[in-house]
Amino acid sequence: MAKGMSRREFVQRSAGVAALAGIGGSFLAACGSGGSSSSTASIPLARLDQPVTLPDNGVDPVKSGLKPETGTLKVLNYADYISPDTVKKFEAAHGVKVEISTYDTEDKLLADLRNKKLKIDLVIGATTLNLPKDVAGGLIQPLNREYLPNFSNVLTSLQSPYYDVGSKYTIPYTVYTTGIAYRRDIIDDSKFAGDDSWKLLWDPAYKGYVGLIDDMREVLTLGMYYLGLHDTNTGDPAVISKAEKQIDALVKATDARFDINAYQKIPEGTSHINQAWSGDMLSATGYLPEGTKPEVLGYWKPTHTTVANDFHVIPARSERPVLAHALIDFLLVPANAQENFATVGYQPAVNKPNGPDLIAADLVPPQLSTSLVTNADVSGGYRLDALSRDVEKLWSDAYSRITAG
Amino acid sequence: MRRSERNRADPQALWAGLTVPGTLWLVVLFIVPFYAIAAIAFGGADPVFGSAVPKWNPLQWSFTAANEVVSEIIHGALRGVFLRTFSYVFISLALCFVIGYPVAYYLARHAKRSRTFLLVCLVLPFWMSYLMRMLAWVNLLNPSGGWAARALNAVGAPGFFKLIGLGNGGEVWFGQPITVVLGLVYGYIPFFILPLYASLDRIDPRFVEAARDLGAGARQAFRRVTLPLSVPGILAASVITALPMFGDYYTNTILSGSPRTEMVGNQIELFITRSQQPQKGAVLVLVLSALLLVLMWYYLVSTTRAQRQAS
Repeated sequence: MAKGMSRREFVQRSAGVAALAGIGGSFLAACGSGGSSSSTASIPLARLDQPVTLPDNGVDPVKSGLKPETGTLKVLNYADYISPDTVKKFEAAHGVKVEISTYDTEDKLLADLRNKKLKIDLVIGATTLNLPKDVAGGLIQPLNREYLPNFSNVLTSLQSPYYDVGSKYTIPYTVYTTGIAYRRDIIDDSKFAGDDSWKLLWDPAYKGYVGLIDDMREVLTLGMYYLGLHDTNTGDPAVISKAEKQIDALVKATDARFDINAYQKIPEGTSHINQAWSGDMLSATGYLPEGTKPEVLGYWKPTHTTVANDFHVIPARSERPVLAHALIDFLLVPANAQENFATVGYQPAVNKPNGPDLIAADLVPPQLSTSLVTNADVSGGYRLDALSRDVEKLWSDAYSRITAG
Repeated sequence: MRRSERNRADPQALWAGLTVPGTLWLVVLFIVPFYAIAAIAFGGADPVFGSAVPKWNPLQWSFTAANEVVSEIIHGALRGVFLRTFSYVFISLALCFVIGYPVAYYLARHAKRSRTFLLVCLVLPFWMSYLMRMLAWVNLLNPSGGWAARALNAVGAPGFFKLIGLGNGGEVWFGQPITVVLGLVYGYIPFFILPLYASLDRIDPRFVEAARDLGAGARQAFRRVTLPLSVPGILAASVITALPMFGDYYTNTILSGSPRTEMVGNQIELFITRSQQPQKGAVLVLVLSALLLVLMWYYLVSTTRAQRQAS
C-alpha cells in the first residue's frame, strides 16, 4: 500500500534537507517573514542534551475564545498518511470539509510553505530537520494550547520535546524507531539476543537478501552503531569516514540493496534481513502473501537506538487556524488515534492507546511488540537532527561515495 | 523582373516562417531550461533555506561544485559510475540491435497482412506506465517463486552471467548488473525497433532485386545492400534509445537498488532531491549532456556521410 511508501519517502527525503547556515556551523541566521532577508534572530541546532526553546518569530498565535472556522480545511500531508475514516468523522463532527493535498519530500514541503500563493491551513508530517527554518522564516505560527484540550494525551516524553521546548510550534503525530526487520522462519530469534545484532547485517550468509534504508543519515549511523559510536549528529570527518568504510564492507559482503521497501520485501521474502523503521513492520502484515502467517515477521532493536517523530504545524498564513487546532486535537483523542493507526500503520505519539492497547486490539501481532515505542525508548534514544551546512556536506559526500559503489 | 524575383522569394519566407514555432519551442523548452541548469550548477545556495539559488549572470558563476564533480569523475567514485553507465548502455544497445533488427526487418520486408497487428503489438507497451512494467519484473524475478527467476536459474544463467562479468553467480537477480541491463533492454527496445522499421521500410526493394539479378545470394544481398542502407536507421534508433537510457534511474532503483549497479541518473537524483547539494546534481547533468553531445555529433557526421554515399 502506498501508505507505507509515503511514510518512508517522507523520512528518506527529509534526511537530506537538514543543512542550516550559521555562525560556526551551529546556528541558523534567521530571516524575515517568508523570505531569506536577514534578521537579527538566531536559532541554535537542537540536540537531546541541548534543548531549544524556539523564539517568537513575529507571527502571532490565533486568539483565544474563537469558534472553529467553517468551510474547507486545507491540509498538506504525505499521501495516505491519515485515515479517510478519521477525516470523515472530523468532517461530520465540525460540519466542514477537509481537503488534503500532498507533498513527497521535506524540500517540497518547505517550498510549499514559502509559496505565498498556496493556501494551507495545517501541515501533517513535518520533522525537526526543517523546523528552525520554518520558525526563522516566519513560515509557521505558534500554537494556542486553549484549542488543544487533549494535549495531555501526547506521549509524556514528547510533551516538551528538546527540539521545541514547551511545544510552542509543534504537536507530535507519530513515533518510530530504527532496527532490523527479519524473517523469523529463516533467521532464528536467538540470533537477536544481544545489543550488537547490527552485525548480522554484515553476515555473508544472507548475501543477496540484505537491505538497508536508502537514507544518508540512517545508513551512516548504522556504520557508527556497528563501531560502537553513538554521536548520530557528528561533524567529525574521521568518524563519518570510518562509518563509510563499514558500510562499504557490508555492501561487499552481502550485496545489500538500498531502498525504503522493507515493509514489502520482508513479507514477500525478497529480503530476509533489513534495516528498517518500526512502522515498517507494523504495516508489513498487510503485504504478506496468501497463506503466510504474520508470525514470520520479526523486528529487533537494541536497548538504545534511533528514535524519531514527526509533528503537526500550522502555517503562518493559515486561514482556518482554529479548525486546524481542532483537527490536531481530534487526532489526540484515544479512539481516533487508534482508528487512524489501523490505517496509517505508524504508531501515534500518544499515551493512549499505548503499545499493550494496540496489541489487545489485535492491531499488532504479539511478536512485533518490539516495534512499539515507549516513553523509555524516546528518552533513551538517539536522534537524527538538523546539521550545519558543512557537516551535512560531509555526510552527503560520504553517502554519495557509498551509493556510487 | 522584380515581380518574378519576389515570387521566388516568398516561398522561402514562408518556409522560414514555418520554422518559427519550432524555434520558439526549442528556445522555451530546451535552451532556457538548459541555461537554468547551468545557472544552478554554477550558482549558490540560500543561506537560510539551503535551496539552490541560480545565478543568471555568468560573470558571477562559481565553479566550486563543478571542480569537485569533475575531480570525482576523474579520480573518485563517480568515475566508476560513469564507466558503469556507459557500459550498461552500450551492452543494452547491442542487445537491442540483436533482438530488434530481425523484428524490424521482418516487419518491413516479410510481414504482409499481419504488419499492422505486429506494429500495434510493438506500441502496446507504451500504453502501460514504464514504472508499472518494471514493477511487474519485480514479481517475475522474485526469488520466492517468480517464474522468470526460476527459468533463468533452471538453465544455469547465473553461472553464465558471472562468466561474462554481468552477474555475481547468485540466484537472487535483484542487484545484479545483468538485471539492470535486461531491464533497460525491455523498457526501451520499442524505441529501437520503430525507427529502424521505418528506415528499413523506406529502402527500395528494387535495390535488393538488382543485387539478386546480378548474382548475389540472399545473404550477400542483405550484407552488401540492405545492411549498409539501414545504417542511418540503426544510428537513429541507437540515439533515440541511448539518450533516455543514459539518464535512466528508475530501472536501477526498482530492479536493483545496489550501489554496485548505480548509474549516473541515480547520482543526479541523489544530489538533487536527497542532499543539500543540488549544484552537484546540476553539474552532473551538464557533464552527461556534454558527453551525449559528443555522441550526437558522431551520429550527425555518420548519417551525413551515409547520405552522401547513398546519393
